[in-house]
Amino acid sequence: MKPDALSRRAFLGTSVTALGGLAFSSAGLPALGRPRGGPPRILVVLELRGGLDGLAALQPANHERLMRVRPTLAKPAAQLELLADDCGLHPRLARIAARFRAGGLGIWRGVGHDQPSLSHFESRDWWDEGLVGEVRTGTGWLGRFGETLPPDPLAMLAIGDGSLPGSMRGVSRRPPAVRGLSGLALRGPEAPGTKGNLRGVQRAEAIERMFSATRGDGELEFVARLGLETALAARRLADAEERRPKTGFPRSRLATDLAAVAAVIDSNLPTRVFHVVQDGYDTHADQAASLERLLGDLDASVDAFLTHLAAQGRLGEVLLMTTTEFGRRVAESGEGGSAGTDHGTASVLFLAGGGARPGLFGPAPDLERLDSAGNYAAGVDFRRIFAGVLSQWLGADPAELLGPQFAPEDVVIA
Amino acid sequence: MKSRAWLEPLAAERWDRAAAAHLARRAGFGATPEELDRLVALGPKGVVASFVDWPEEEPLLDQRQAEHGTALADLREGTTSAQDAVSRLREQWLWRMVATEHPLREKLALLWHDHFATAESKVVRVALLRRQYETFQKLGGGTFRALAGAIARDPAMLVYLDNRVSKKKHPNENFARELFELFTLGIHNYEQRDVAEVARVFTGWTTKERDAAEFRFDPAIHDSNDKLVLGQVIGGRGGARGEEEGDLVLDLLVARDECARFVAEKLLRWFLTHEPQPDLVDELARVFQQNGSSIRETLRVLFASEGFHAAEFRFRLYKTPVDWAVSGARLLGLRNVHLLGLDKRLARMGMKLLEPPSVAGWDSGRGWIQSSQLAERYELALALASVAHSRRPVHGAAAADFDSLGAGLEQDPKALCDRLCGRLLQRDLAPEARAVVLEHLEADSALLEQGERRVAHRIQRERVRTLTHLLLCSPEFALA
Repeated sequence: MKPDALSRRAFLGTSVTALGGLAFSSAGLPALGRPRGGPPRILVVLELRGGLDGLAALQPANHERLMRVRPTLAKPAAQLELLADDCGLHPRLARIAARFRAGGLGIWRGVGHDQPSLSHFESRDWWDEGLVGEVRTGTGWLGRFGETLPPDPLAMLAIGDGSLPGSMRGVSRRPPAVRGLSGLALRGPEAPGTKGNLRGVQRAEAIERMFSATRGDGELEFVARLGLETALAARRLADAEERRPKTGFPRSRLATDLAAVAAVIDSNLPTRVFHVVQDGYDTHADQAASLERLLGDLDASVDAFLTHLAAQGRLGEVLLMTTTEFGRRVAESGEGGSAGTDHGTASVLFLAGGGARPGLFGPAPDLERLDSAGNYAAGVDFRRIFAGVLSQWLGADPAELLGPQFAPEDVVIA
Repeated sequence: MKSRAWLEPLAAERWDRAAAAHLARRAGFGATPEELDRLVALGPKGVVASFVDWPEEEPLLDQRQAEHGTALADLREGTTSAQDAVSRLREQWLWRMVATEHPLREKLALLWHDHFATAESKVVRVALLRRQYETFQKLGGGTFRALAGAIARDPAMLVYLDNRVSKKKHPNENFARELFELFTLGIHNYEQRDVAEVARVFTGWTTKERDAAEFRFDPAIHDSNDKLVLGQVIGGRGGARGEEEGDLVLDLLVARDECARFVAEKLLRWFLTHEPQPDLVDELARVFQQNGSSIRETLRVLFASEGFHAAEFRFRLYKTPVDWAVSGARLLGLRNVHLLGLDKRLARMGMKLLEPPSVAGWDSGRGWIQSSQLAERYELALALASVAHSRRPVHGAAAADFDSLGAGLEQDPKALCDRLCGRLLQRDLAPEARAVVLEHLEADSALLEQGERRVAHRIQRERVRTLTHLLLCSPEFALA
């Protein structure tokens, strides 16, 4: 073979097996987590960061007290996408409402926990860890689940700002966190006076070999292993990037990240859990305009993602779940167009995809009985939903991962 | 089991080049072979002193900074956008970390920035951030009590944790809570009641009205009733004397054993090990107390101790992104580091200066070893290995003297590899990894010889660049 005839991918493809036995292929993986012999089930967690106002996303309809304490923000029932007599979705969630009516969506209201913390950091930590209170494990609920998956560095993947969400932090594993699918690639120098990119290709290859040849104490091996896993993951993600759907997705950060998730699924990579983020829900001010934009983006992006999966015949393998660290105060603050809401407690949670049990669940928020800060009490503990997802969708033991006290909710179709 | 005496002075005969290199990696950003020659000649006391005893002023550095033209010129607010201004402050700080002869001052400033974290996104005004950075530079080695007093009055902190708007009628607990939890005692060493009382103590600690750049105590919004903090009565004071209550609370907190342990643990995590043994923490906490909370004297004892130089700690600390980038630039002898766009690269590595992720500061230890952040490090490794070559100082470009690094070893690639390992890693690569590096060096040289750049000195310069790139990517370089 003439060196300059090699593409980087072909070259690396032939040398994978030389990398110290740390090569992976989805075909060779054990069929763990394939309940009842079907295809592996995939979970996509969509974090609505900042604290989604559950009372605006799914608004109680014709609620006298709500209309009084939210003179600017509450909408008349006629403007809502009514789902039941007593509540309706925000008008910008029209596609989600249509999916709900078609029986493709579960909506859970009043999701939170019984020790509300109004701190973003603390509450996000709790949701990430699946624990509430002073206990800290330093690991996330998804990260602990990930420890049970085959040891492929792409078993879980966070697509977003490049930082690993706390929920995916494992004991020994650190799933890749990427900005787009091309960002991890190792590069070498451009080659002055040589044909093609061979010099750069060889350099990247040498660095990978250096990682796999590294032996030493715990820290040294840890860095070497992460470096090698990163390089190998980069190569497979770059392949997936070529399959990223070019049409059908709106232009937004969230839609782009969900299209990347779709590309990884379409490429049959062994990723079982994805994490994506839509940021901006901390609507202390100008909530009406912000939610128009955010929920409109959420509605269009999620709809495009689900439509794509259905077209590929994969919708039945994928469950999408939203999370948010807390809801927002019942009464609005500020005045007129700049009205917003402060940190609250419970919020709404969506489950979509082939596995989601359709319907509206959880008791309606009791807005007549508020705590001293002006927040309503959660009706569904978020860990019972996590427990349901773990046991019914991922085939894991929630008692082991979350503790025994959280009976799973029925979140997916039996 | 007899507990170990961690902080006994290290025996003189154990002070060697490797010990000096270890100290330089931890107290600074690593030492070049030339710097190590000088450090070893100073003897044990002199080495430690050369790190902990820095002069008040660094006129040479200030002069060089001034010579660097617009990119590093003193900031004139209003001449540039706020975003440019804060980027420039970051670049200036990073430039000083690379250029200074007293790296511990800058490293401690970074430690205190992490400890008393404030973020540009909330503080907004770059003048306040600059002032806070200068406070860390100036007081970072002094007593913890003095630093705490300055930070409690620091305008950026007063804005960041909302104490500026804390009034008798509506005391804001944000600063009071973090003063206990993150700044002095650590969680579980106080109760909510103490937080509420201390919030009342600090009512009236605010900024000047028209211009938030100066501290001001405002008796009109201070709660002058008595408070009970950790079981001790802080007598209420009216008028201007109300400010004294805050200082009494700081005296009280800094004198607690919990505070000594909290600060000692922070110093140990930063300078020695991610998981300090409890008896080591206790021992250093006593040194802290015996020295009136002096950071400089506490570190002087630590850096010269048996424990600090124990084999179990060497090369076991994960470098932060800043440590990684600055040590790479320093060990290469890089000039004009501010022209590398380090500010934005560090943001992608997860460590945007002046913008820690929360009041709790940055992640630490293993938290820094993440795939996308590693990928950014490898990108920077390539950028560092690719800067212009120059023997003389140059304007307008980042540059390093690659020819000197490779001089005399044109015919001996193995010795060249070992020389650069000595410079960049201060240790050997594992034999298998060294074999991979040498194999690549040979293949890479062969490619270059086929190409147009057959001139021998050019090839040698490329070899140095190639080795630099590989060694900066090596797992060894990620550890201090």
